[in-house]
Parts: sequence; C-alpha cells; structure tokens
Amino acid sequence: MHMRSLKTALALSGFLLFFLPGLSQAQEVTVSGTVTDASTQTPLPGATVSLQGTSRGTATDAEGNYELEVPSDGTLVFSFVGYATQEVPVEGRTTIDVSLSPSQQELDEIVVVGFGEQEEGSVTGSISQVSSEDIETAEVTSFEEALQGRTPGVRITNSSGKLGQGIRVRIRGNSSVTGDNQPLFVVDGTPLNNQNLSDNGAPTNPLAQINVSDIESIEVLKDASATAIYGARASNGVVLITTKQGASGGSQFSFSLKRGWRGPTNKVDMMNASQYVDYYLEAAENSNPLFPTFDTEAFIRSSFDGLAAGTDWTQAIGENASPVVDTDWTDEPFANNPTSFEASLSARGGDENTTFYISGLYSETDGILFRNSFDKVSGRANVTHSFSDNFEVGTRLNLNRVVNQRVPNDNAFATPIQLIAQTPISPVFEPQTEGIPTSDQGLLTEFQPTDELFNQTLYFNNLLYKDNVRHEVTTFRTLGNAFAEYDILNSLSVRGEFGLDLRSRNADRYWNSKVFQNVGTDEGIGRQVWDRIVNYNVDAFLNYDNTFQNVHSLSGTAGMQLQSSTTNSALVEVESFPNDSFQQVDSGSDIVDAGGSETTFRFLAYFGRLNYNYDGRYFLQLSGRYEGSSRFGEENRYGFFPAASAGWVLTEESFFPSSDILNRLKLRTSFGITGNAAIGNFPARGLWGASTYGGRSGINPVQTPNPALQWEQTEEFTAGLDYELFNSRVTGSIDYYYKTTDDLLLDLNVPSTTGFLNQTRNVGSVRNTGLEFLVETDNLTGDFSWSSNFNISFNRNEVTDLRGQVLTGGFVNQAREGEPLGVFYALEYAGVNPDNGDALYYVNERNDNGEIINPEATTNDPNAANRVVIGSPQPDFTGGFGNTFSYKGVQLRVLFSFDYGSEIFDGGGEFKTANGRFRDNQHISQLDAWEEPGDQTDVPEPRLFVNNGAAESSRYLYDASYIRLKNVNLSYDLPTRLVQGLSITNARIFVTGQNLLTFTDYRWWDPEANADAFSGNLGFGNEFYTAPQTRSVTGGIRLSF
Amino acid sequence: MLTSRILPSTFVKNLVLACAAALLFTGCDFLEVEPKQSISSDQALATEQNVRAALNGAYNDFSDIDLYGGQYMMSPDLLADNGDVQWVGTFASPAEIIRKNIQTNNAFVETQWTDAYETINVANNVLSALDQIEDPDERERIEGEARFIRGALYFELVRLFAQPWNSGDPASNPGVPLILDPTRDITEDDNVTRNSVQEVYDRVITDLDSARILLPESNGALADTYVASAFLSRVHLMQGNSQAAAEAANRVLQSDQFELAPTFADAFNNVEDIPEYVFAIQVSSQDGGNDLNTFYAASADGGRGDINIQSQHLNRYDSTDARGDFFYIDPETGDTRTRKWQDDESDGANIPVVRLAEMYLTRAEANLRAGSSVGAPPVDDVNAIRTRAGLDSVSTVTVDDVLRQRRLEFAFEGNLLHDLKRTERSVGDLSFDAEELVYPIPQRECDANPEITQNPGYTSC
Repeated sequence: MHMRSLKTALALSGFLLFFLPGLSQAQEVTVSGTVTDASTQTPLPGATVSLQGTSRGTATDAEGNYELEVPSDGTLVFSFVGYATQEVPVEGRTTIDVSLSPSQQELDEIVVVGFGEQEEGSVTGSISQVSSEDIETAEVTSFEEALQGRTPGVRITNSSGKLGQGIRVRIRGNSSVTGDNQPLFVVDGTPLNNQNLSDNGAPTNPLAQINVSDIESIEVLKDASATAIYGARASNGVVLITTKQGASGGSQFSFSLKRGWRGPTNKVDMMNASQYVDYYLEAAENSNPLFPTFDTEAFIRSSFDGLAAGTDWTQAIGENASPVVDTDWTDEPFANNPTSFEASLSARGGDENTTFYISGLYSETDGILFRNSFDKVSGRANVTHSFSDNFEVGTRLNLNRVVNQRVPNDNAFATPIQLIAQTPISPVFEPQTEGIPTSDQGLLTEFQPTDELFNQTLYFNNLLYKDNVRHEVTTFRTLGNAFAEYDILNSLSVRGEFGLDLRSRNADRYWNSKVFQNVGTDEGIGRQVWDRIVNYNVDAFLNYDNTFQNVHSLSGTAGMQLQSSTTNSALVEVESFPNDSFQQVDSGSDIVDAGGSETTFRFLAYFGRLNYNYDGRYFLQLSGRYEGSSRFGEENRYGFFPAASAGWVLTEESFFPSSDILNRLKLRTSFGITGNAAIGNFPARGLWGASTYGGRSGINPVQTPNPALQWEQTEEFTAGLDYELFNSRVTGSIDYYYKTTDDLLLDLNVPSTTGFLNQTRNVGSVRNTGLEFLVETDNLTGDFSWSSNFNISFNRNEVTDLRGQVLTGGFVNQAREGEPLGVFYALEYAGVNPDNGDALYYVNERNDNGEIINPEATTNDPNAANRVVIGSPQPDFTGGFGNTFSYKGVQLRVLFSFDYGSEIFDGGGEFKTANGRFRDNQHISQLDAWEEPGDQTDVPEPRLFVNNGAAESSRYLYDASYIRLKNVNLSYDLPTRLVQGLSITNARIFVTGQNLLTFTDYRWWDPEANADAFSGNLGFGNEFYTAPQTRSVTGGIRLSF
Repeated sequence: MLTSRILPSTFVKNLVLACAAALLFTGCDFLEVEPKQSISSDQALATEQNVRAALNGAYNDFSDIDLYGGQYMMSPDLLADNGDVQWVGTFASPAEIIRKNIQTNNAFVETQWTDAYETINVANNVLSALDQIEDPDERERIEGEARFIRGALYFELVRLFAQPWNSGDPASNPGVPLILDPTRDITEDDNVTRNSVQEVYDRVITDLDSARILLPESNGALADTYVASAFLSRVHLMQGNSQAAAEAANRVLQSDQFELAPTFADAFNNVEDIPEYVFAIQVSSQDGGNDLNTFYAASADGGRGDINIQSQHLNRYDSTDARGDFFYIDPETGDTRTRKWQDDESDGANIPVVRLAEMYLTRAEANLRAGSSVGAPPVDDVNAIRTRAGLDSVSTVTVDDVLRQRRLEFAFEGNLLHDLKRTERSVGDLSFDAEELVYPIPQRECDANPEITQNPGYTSC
C-alpha cells in the first residue's frame, strides 16, 4: 500500500516537472555576469547558477562567467562548494555580477556542542574551536598535535619522536590522581574507546588512526556547563571532532600530494674516545683504594680490551691521542634520511536532497629512529539524504588501517637512543684482523670495519634490531555512525543515532637468532597478539528550538545514550625455530606464553539541556545528565551531573553607549558538577585471579572489595568574557576557572602486611585554578592582509587531600598533599666538596613540625639525607602565538608555542652523568669533574663502581621551558589563468615546516619529553633515553577540479 | 509531499521500538557486567576445588623471583659478601646491598617484604577455609602446607628485617608484624606494629612444627613433613639450639626419602627434582622465574652476567675440590661465573631450596656443638660431603671445619649471611649485628602505615 503510493507520487512529480516549464507564462530574458570570490576578487569557475524552484541552471566557465535564460521575475541562486549560497532576484536585469563569501565565516559562527549546535554568540560555556584550515596546515601525524599552541587551556605533550606514541592531552590541568586524565573524545557523536593496547610498555595513540584532513572542526569543551551533558566522563573535558560533510550546489574534487623530509630536533654531546678513556682510567684509579680486594684499574684496562674489539684503545690516552676507534654513538639511533609521503583525494558536493563527502588517503611516514614507521590508509564516506523537508538520514563512515613498525620502550636496552650509552672505543662493526698491524700487546693499531655488527659492546648493540627483529602492529579501525532525524514540528525534531567504534589490532613480533644477547635465546622468538574492541552507542534525543514574540528564544535537548565496550585479547609466544628463515609462530616448537582475555564496561545515561535567550542580551543554560556505569559499586551505581550557566551581552543594552572601540562585550559564568569514571572495569569488586605453579592452576586474591566505589566528582566555576574591539578587528576572550575534584578514585597505598599493595577508594581532592587569555586581531585587511593570534594559559594545580598518603610514580614523581600533582620528591643536591670531590646532599632534617632545621647542613651519604620537593613537571604557563600574512594567492602562517616553568627529571642521569660509576659513556658536561683539592665544580670526582652523586637528586632535574617555532606554512595559489586550460579550479603549492626552531636551556634531546616506559598519571615530566621530537619540512601540491 | 508522510511514521514506530528496547536493557541488567578473568572474593573459597587452587596460588607466590625464586638466596649473599664476588650490573638495588649501603626505597628489599606478606595472606585464606575440605587426610595436608609456607616466610622476614636472634634481647628487639588472619577488607586496624623477634620465632616454630606433624612423608614437588623438619633445623641453628637442630636434620637424613646426588655437578640444573632435593622451586619454560640465573649467569645462558666471581672466592677451594671447578668463563666478558645457576627458565631447571647436603652439615655442626652424636658421628657427615666433592676423608672435624664446608658447599645458595650472623662472625669491618646487615623497613610501608617503626641506621619512617 505504502509502496504503491510512493511510486505514484514519484511518477506524478516527474510528470509535473517535465511539463512545468512549458506551462510558464513569464517573459524570458538572458542574464549574464561574473561570479567572484568576495575576499580575493578572483573569478570562481564551476560555480552553479540556477533558477530558484526549477532544475534549470548552468555553471560558470574558467573566467567565472555565466549566461542563463530566465523569467524576468525569477530569482537566481548562486552556489559553490565552500561558499555561502546567495539568492538574487532578476528584477528584469540582464547583467548580474555576484561575489560569494567563503562559507568558512558562516561555519565559524556555529559551534558544535554535545548533542547539537549553537550559534557562537549564544554560547555561555568555555569552548575552543580549531578550524580545518589550522588542522590541515599543521602537518601532524595525529590531530591533537594541531591543538598545541592554538587552544588556551589545553596542554599537549607528545611523549617522544617515536611514531604512533601516546600523546598527553590535559584540559585545564590534571584533575585526577589515579584515574585517567585524558579528555573524552567524541567523533561525529560517537564516544570513542581509546584504550591503549600497546604490547611493549610504551603507550600508543589510537587517535592517530584518524585522517587529519577529514576533520571539519574540533571543539574543545572545557567548563562544566559545556561538558556536564557528558556526565560521568566529563571532568577532563570533552573533545568533539566533526568531520567534513557534503554541500549542495555542484561538486568539487581535490587531489593532493605531499613529500616530507624529517629529522630529530636535537642530538646530545657525549664524550669522544679520548675523553672517555682518560675519564674512566681516572675513575678506576680513584676507586682502587676503596676496594681492598679488587683491582679496579686492572679491571677497566682488561675491560677496554674487550669493549674496543681488540683494537688498540691505549692510543686514545692522553693529550695527543689518536684513537684507533672513535665512534660517535649519538648518531647511530637515527634513521638515514627519513621521509614521508602522502597522497589524498576528496570529493564533496551534492544536490538539494543528497550531499556527500568522500575521501581517501594513503601515507607513509618514516620515523627519525631506525626501524620506526607509520603507514596509514584511510577512506571516508559521509552521506546525508533528505527524503523531504522534515526527514533526513545519514551516515558517517571511516575505515582505516595503520601499520606501525614500533621500537622498544625507552627502558629497553634495545631502544635505539640507549646506544648513546655505548663506549666510543667500541666500533659499530667488528674489525678486520687479517693483515692489520698490531701493537706489542697484540691490539689492532688500525681499524677496518667488516660488515658484521660488533656484538660485544658494553650493552647489547641494538643496531642488530635493524635487520633481525620485527615489531609490526597493524590496526584496523572503523568509526561509523548512522542517524535519522525527523522534524515533528518546525520547532521540534527527534534524532536517533547508532555509533560504532571497532578496533582490531595485531602485533606481529619476531626476534631471530642474532639478537640472542638481548632476548636470552638463540633459537628465535615469535609473538602474536590480537586485540579487538567493539564499542557501540545508541542515542535517541529530541531537539527543540523556537522564538516567541521575536525576543524569547527557547531551545532544548533531551534524550538518552547507552554505550557498551568490550575488549578481547589473545596472544601466543613461541621459541625454538628451526632457523632464521622461519618467522611465524607456527614454526616455533616451544610455546612459552599464551593467553586470552575479555573485559567489558557499560554506561547508561539520560540527559537534557535547556537554553533560553532574551533578545540576544540575556542567556541562560541548564543541563544535566543522570548516568550509571558498570564500573561503579553496587551501592553507588548512578550519579547526577548538573550545570548552569548564564551570559549577558552588555553592549546590546540601550544604556550602553555605542562605541567604535568596544563593539561587543559578553559576560558569562557557569557552575556545574561532572564526573570521571576513567578507572579499571571492576575496581569495586573483591577479586581473585588465576595463577599456575608446578603445572597446576591456582587462584590468588588480587583486589579487596569496595561496594561504595563511585565516580570522581568535579565542581567547576567559570567566569569569563568575550569581547570585540575596534570594529571587531580585535576579538578574544578571558576565562577564569576554579575547579575542585573530590572523591578521587585513588589507588590508596595500604600496608602491604594486608597482602595487598593498594585499594581503589573515593578519597582525596585536587584543585585546579586558572586563567586563559585569547586575542585575535586583523591587523591589516585588503590585498595584503595580516592577522595575529595569541593565547596564554595559567593553571595552578594542587593536590589538597590524600588522607596523608603519598603516591609515587615515574622515578621520583609523587602526589603529596599541598603540592602539584607529580612533584619531584628526591634528595637535594648540594654540589661537590672542594676538599675531596665527594658529592654532597643537603641533609634537610626536619623537626616534629615538619620544618627543616639547619638547612645548610650537607652530607656525602645519600642515606643520611632527607628527600624534599625539588621541582614540578607542571608548567607555570603555556600558550602560543601565530601570524597569518596573505597577499593575492600567497599565504604565510607562522605559529610559535611555548611552555614555561615545567621541569624534567632525568631518570637516566644515574647512568650518563654518573661519576663513572658504571662504564656507560658520559655526557661531556662530566669533563668538569672534580680533580684536585680546591676545585670548584658541581660534578663529583669520577669513581668506578662507586655511587658518588648518582643518587636520585635535584642534580638530575632540568628546566624544560621552551619556545618553539611549531609550524610554518607557506602556500601559493597559482593564478587561474595558468591552470584554466586544465579544467582546474584551484592549484595550490605549499611547504610546511614543523618544529624548525626551539629555544631552550634544556640539556638533553628535547624539552618536550615524557619517558614512555615510566609514563602514567603520576609519571610524567621524565627523561629516560627519550627520543627527540621530529623536525620536518613538507612540500606539496593540491589541485581542485 | 506524500512521500515524506509515509517514511516518518514507520520511522517513528521504529524509534519507539528502539527506545523500548533500550529501556528494556536498562532494567538493571545492562549495567551488570561480570569479570571474565577473575572471580569474586565470596566465591573464591566457597568450594573444595577453590581452596585447593588457593593453596596452589600460595605456592605460586612463594616461588616468586623476589622470594624463593631467587632473591631470598641472592640478596643476603650480596649483603654477606666481602670481596668474593663483584657486582657489575646496572641495577642500583643489588649494588646498594653489596655495598652495605641500602636505601629505604631499595626495590629489591621492598619486594622481598611485600611479596612475602602477599603470600602469607593467601596462606591465611587457605587456613581460614579448611572446613571446605571433606577428606580429613587432605584437610591435614593442606593445613600443613599452608602453615609451612607461612612459617618459612616469617622465618625469612625476621632474619632479614630484624636484628639476629643472638643480638641483644629477642623479646624486646622489634621483629616483623605477625598477621595470622586473612584480609577481608582494609581498615585502620591494619596499621599494625612490629611483633618482637621472639614472638615471630615462636610463631615460626609453631607453624613449622604443626606442618611437620600434619604433612605426609612425601608430597610430590610440594611441601612434605621433611621440608618442615629441614626448615626447623635452620630455625634451631639460628637460635643456637643445637640439640633440636641435630634432631630435626637427623629426621630428614634418616627418612630414606633422600640421597646425595652422585657428583656435586649433578645436584644442580635439574629439570626434575632429584633425590637430593628436600625442597625445590618448580620452574618450566611456561611458568616460573629464576632470579639466580638472571643475575649470576652469562648472557649466553639467559642471564645478565651481573655478578663476577673473584679469585678470592676461587682460592677458598682445595685444588682437588670438584666444587672449585664448578665455574666457567663468560664467553663474552671473560669473567668467572658459577655453574650452579647456569640453566635458565627456558631450560626449565628447578631451584633447590634445601638440599640433603645441608642436613649432613647441620647435623654434624649441631652434634659437635652439643657434644652429641645424634644419628651419626660428625666426622662421618662431613666426610659424606667431602668425598662427594672429591676431597679426602678426614678423621676428626671441628665446628670451623663444618662451617668451612658450608661456605664452599652452599656458595651462592643464600646461607652465608645467616651462618655469619648466628656464628657472630663479621662481614669485613661490620660486626655480625651491624645495623647495615639488617634490611630497612621499606619506604613504601613507612608511607602507608604510620604505626610501623624503622630499623636503626636508616632514615626513620
């Protein structure tokens, strides 16, 4: 019945359309004109010109000209992808020239919020928006990197220059001590499961799967009024990613190619062979008297024979040294000429009923470290179809695959950067011995390398990993969303969504016989790990939007959302392969590890939001979410998270004098309560896990129960203002926030005499307060235009209550009451005793009130000294400033980002700046070591096998402030006349530089570092042979048809 | 226009259905998710099978590398060393131990404490659920095994973290906290204080003696009555109770369950337990770790090659002593390494905790000290060990002869520190009761438990 009526209707409308033109009675005129870009005044070829209400139309030619026969009383519709559509009545004219404005300006005025959109002017919460242009010109592996320096209140830390590594995103500080502090990421309405599935102790970044150029905008929701609608997972802020959609009015096809050249931002200086040998002979001599039964000098000499591969290291001794081997191991971790390549295409367009955006991307990126790469293939189809004026369906679908060749974590002997610990007298390759002259001691006096890597280095020569190890991680991720929206009334619509985030990951690992020193077997190891995450959400909600009496605007949203996420894992590890040609686990005869697991979490929520605005002057928003999670204890399964905010546009008031200086001023304030549920899936339960002993299975207690366990609760107050000055050429905002988080989900250290190390409890508080400033200016407009932006954010973080507990992480990171999260708590280094070269530490003895008595007292015994707070990994302020210059088709964008006042603790300091304690090569700064009484230096006397100053202390703490030229992008749009014959509408060539310059006093590789193997909520701001960031220059071309 | 009216009504119907389905989910069930890799505490001890599994869980913890999987042997040996070995590894914790300069945050010391209490809690859980075991023989055996595990660990804790028995007054010297009940939830009451050395020793003897009575004569690779006796002989030696030590050792020797391996070399690197092993930790390529291999063995043997044997040690052996040949040169570094821990986990070699050889030397020493000859004359016991090592028999022995044999026979097996302390011999310049020869209470315990007190010589809690 229904189908028949549908067919009838279609036939009827087709019939009508066919005959309608013939029935027209109006007088026909021929209209011609030119369509240009309103900002650049350049012609727009391919723009659509049509007669309103008909299918009659044409497209502009290469010079932007058109000609169309239309009724003299008709209306012309001018449209073009990426531009705002214009309707112009003909009114009898025969020439109509039109300038179209880029629709970006229109888009900017719309802000995506949770479960809807709002006009920018009516927003009362704190939301930062990053546009597609900023993201596309950033040349980043993962889109969060593009937020760095661009968004106030957001701190991004890329852990290292390894590809695909975890990135810390902190919005308005760290609000949790043990729960995750990453924001909730939502792509096109689907909350993602970004669980890290790394299999080598260094976190990976699942967000890097997303094709950066698919993103239309990123909204960072910062305050409670913006985030409360995400309830129990909103405390860390929410990042909404909206992908590009089609647009009606013609179609556009773009193709781009990029090629990049990459390298490390920095290298470090270690001792050369001569310095090394002299330093360690000295160290051995100094410590000999301390070992009555052990001859350290004989030891170091015979050890050098081996480390130097039988070459004559004695030639490196003394002033006029001519070392036989002098290897600069600091170069060895890095790949030879790493490059990147990317090809992408996209098509965008549609008609009145159906719009589409489709894209494809292929990229290959080499890491700056050897055997590290990241290759991505991604496809997207976003389609929206209107069945009628009031019913719309659509889908957003992205399929992608990433192949990541991974390197070991920073704490592994096999991680490339650890090569710098090797001695410079060790050659990279085995020496040739045939026909090489030898010294009296039988040591080779010339060095000729063979092609075999030297494997008797001090530590495992991990260059062997280049050709003998595989760690290939292949991840498929599908992000999909299907929705239907029906307008029940003009002002009321209902929307249903089903979202899916599927991730399937395989880590394929293999070590052959040649790396036996590192893995303990010379018969090969194979390991396969498979993981699958099925994460889905179902949303249903109503949207209401109406205006009464022209001044009362009322809008609202109400609905429900459920989410379920299940992770499955399986692994097998085998040893004993027949030979190195067999590399799949099938060929190993001995299964040494196998496992499989499954875990699930779920959320169920009801949410609502109500917005009222009076005459564009007064704004009020109320929102809330009632949410439950399987993670919480039986006694506290559901929580309610409300928020309220208000805004007042002073400049709209009649009493406010109109002024050319202050064009618009809006005051806004908000308060709300949000939650953080980023804990394990079953922390409320008392649990026993499985174990085995002697071939039989067993069970062990792993967790004590806490049925009252609930979410962490954050109360946040924000007051801010938005302003526009000087004819809106200066715009910006200022925000102040005060944010307290209580009922922390704390893995509280408990007395281990209970048999447990910790228990998850809701205790403790953290406070974040801060200020954010944003200024954007249009300095020059016209042919030559110049705009600038500047943002700076101050966040003060303090752990206010931990029930007297101290939590530890990283090397010396702690959570302590009254201190910022993650403070460095260690001995305070007091320099070197000029009389004897002993390293000294401040005793820092405290009285019963906890006050330090006798602050000047020092000791050479680290055990007699007391630990104190020596610094903090949290910055005083962060921000960025950028400038954009345009002249005709040339555009230059320059962005600096900065981070001031944060410190980094070098966990590797006790090896590479360690008074010759072990045989590791030392940083050149250690050449300033104490030598004789009276020497004033802070580098202690070298002593082999003796800890003289290598205890964890402020000696290994470094200021990590920096200003960095984060991004430079120069582009040139070729003049239309050059490309018009090729039916190309736009041709752009561009070059982008990332991290080109860094200004810092930091001693090691890069001040933006976070040792991956020691990273966690508390473990941050640490250095441990951490790879520097990537410096890159990328050139490319983009053609649009 | 017609078209738009039709689809929405179907859509609205579907939406209503979807919502209804969603609401059905919500009826409590949607948020009820059970863990798949673990079971709830209330189920854990609810069946006989689970109690048996919990006992095996206790053995699993007992065999951890931080306990009898290596560190209960290696760390005290480093602390007792005076130049027989050289630590050349990069781990800071063992370096501090061999330098007698232990920091309160020493990671090796910390896990030797925390893992012991973790294991004790599992044993306490087993002891609390014995009612589940139907068969009275099995119930006795399980109780005996749990008591053995608990007694052995309290013995290790008290002799590592407290002053030795023969230093000052054991009744007033702080020992370690005695926890005898399983932890169900964690409260202020868990901020425990230290019991005295005497109280801990009393509990050790109670547990081990109960185990001796309850356990069967043989029990596969798991604890039997004789390992309880062997541990009791160690406890009595530490307390200077020679008569009891001789009797406990004699009970093992006269059981006919055990015999010395034909050669010294045969006593090590065995995949299956051999008759010389009174008790050994089970290791296979799938399961179990061996920290002794990790640190003593060359990298070619799966180790780190961190402990170099010095000539001072090699010179202790007579030229004909087979034990003096039980070393090898590391092919990569040229350093000398012991063969005792040459096989690694992938070879599946078990780790002997008590060898029968120890019972011979314990009986001999205890008999000499007590002037008795329980079981056999001391000279016969010493000769049994000497001749197996390729040395000539002797006709008379002194206590010092026995102690010398102990040092050679059990080098790198974890006995040295305790032998030095109980015989009041010094370590270099450090007296047997020096503060430096006692572990600190771990920093993390000080931070988590305000009631616990630190040992003298360390930064107080």
